[in-house]
Amino acid sequence: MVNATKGLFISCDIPMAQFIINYNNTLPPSQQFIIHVLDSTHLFVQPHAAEMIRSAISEFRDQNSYEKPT
Amino acid sequence: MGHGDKGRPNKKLKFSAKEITNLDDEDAYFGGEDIDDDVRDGVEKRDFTKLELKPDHINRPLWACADGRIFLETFSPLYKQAYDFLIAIAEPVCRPESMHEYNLTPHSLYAAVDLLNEAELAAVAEEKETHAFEVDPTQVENVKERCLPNALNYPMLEEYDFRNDTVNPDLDMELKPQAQPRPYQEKSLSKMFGNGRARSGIIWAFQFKLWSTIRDEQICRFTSDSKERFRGNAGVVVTTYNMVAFGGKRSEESEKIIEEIRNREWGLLLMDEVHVVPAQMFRKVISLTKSHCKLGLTATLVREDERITDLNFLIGPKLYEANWLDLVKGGFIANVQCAEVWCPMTKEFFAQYLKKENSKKKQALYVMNPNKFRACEFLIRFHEQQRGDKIIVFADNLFALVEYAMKLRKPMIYGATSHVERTKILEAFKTSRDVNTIFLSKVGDNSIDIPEANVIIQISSHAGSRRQEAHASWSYSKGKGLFSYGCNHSFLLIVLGKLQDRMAGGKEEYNAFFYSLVSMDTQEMYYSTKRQQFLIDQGYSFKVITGLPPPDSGPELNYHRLDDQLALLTKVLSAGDEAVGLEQLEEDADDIALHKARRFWWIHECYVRCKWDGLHGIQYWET
Repeated sequence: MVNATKGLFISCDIPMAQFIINYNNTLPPSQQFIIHVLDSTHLFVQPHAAEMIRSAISEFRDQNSYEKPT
Repeated sequence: MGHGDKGRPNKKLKFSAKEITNLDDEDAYFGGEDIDDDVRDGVEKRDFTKLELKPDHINRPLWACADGRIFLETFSPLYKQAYDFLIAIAEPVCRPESMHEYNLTPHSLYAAVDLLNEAELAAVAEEKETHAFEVDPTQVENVKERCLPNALNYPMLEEYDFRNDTVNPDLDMELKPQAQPRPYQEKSLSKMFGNGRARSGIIWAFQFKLWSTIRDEQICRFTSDSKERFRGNAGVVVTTYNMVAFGGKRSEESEKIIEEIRNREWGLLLMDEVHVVPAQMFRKVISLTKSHCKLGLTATLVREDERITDLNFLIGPKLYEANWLDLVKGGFIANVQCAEVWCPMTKEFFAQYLKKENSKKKQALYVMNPNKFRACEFLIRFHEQQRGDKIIVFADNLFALVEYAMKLRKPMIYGATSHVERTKILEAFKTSRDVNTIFLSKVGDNSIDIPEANVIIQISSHAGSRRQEAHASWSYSKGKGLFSYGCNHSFLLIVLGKLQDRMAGGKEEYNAFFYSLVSMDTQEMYYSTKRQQFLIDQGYSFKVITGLPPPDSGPELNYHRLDDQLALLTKVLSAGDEAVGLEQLEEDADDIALHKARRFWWIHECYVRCKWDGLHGIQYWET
């Protein structure tokens, strides 16, 4: 019998996939969103996680870039 | 840097700039009360393209704003004259190729007092009664401070009438005939000794090396290694800030020397790298050595302790500052290709990097990133084999330094390397065809002379990380970014020397290379973006290289196999937190080392600059 799960397919580079996996692992089990790690650049996650992932990545990137104080 | 780096301003930019120049004395322009906001917000709010150019706009290279900001067109026929004037009265904010921005500040105006010509001063003196009195030497600093703009605001000039000094003996010393001062050097010296009198002041400089006829017996050293008493009436003593300011118990020998220094009247106190000296130490040196005249040299007046303004009364105002790009164009310093090599983290290293428990190993993880290692190895091979270059690989992380050097079988020099060993390695690097790459750490206070090298590869580009971060957050909390004034400095190399043969390659050609290897998606990118901002403000071009090593490179470079990468990862993770951190040198406890660490990121730019300017010495390693 075939099971269908609705989800979000994420395609990204290797480090970002690792970032998302690490982020997922820091959450309590009830909030973890990764359904399957397909390979090193593809993930399958719960559909509601998109915004959460986006903001986590954006925050991470901000930490790693310098803005000239004005 | 967009269209700015093509070497010629694009037409539209030029056109609007001319329009702006025209506004110089347009009353209407200064009408609004919110002028500052309007100017700052720039193009959208104020579009001047409809205004007509003045007939003589060609001769108007400056645009002065009501808020003290001044813009200068570098393509104007009057650029040179305008620059010399402007640099004496204003601080450079940002100097890209076609357009400079300057700012009038109280201190820059204070420096401008020097511009008043003799006639004006004489006229003033005639009208008023003249008084002469001697100031108590211990109060001199106080008097100077009180005269500054934020206090009494009296123009003050410190001069030494050295030609008429009959009390102190003259030192018989001249420039050798082959030592031709360069134009910017003459300019800065003429500011100092303008009217036959010597003014104290700070000249922005990077390195000062006088090629003169001084005789051996007229020069002596007073350092921790060498304590020479000096002979004769006049001479030169070379010493360090530490030696003079030292507060503890001295040996009998050095106590005698310091006593001699203290009791003597000095003609000139020449202080190099004035910006690294902690204010207190600086004070001590100045109060201890009574000198008629003080010359401070620096490549930058960026001081992390925000005490730069102290220099204004401790030494005197800035006298001259050269524009970096002009020096390159003049062929006085090498044209350096600056490149950032972006290296993606490997999956395994990045996974560990992200883990909380590895927070103290972050630096080791991104420096040891196998992709970075391979990029480094590729660059070394390329420059050694294809171009026959001499390469220095720089790392402040001792763990990485040792791992890289051992793996690549290259000699390395770091804090613990003995003097004999160091000399041997450097000699081999200079003379042997087989030794073309050496690895260096921050080697402490002994300067190293390696004019042969023309490639620098930096594998850890920020260093001082923990301190730097601590300091950065401290500064930000005070509402002022650590490097917010980082673009405020520029470079003058007061150097008397011949051009490196490599300069023969022509001005357009790059004859030196500086690579900074950065692991993507890590903290290193933060330092990288910061450095980019700095370079942009300096009008310097750099490029970002991705895809190194090329995708088709395989096992000829190390860490091709996953097994090897994982073994390396295990090694990094099993090393102690301290072992993978920054190299700790003995003098790290003192302030100079602290400053050095904080200055680290931009220091490397300076490092390249001094490296290929045709002279010797890596100045910033000296204290």
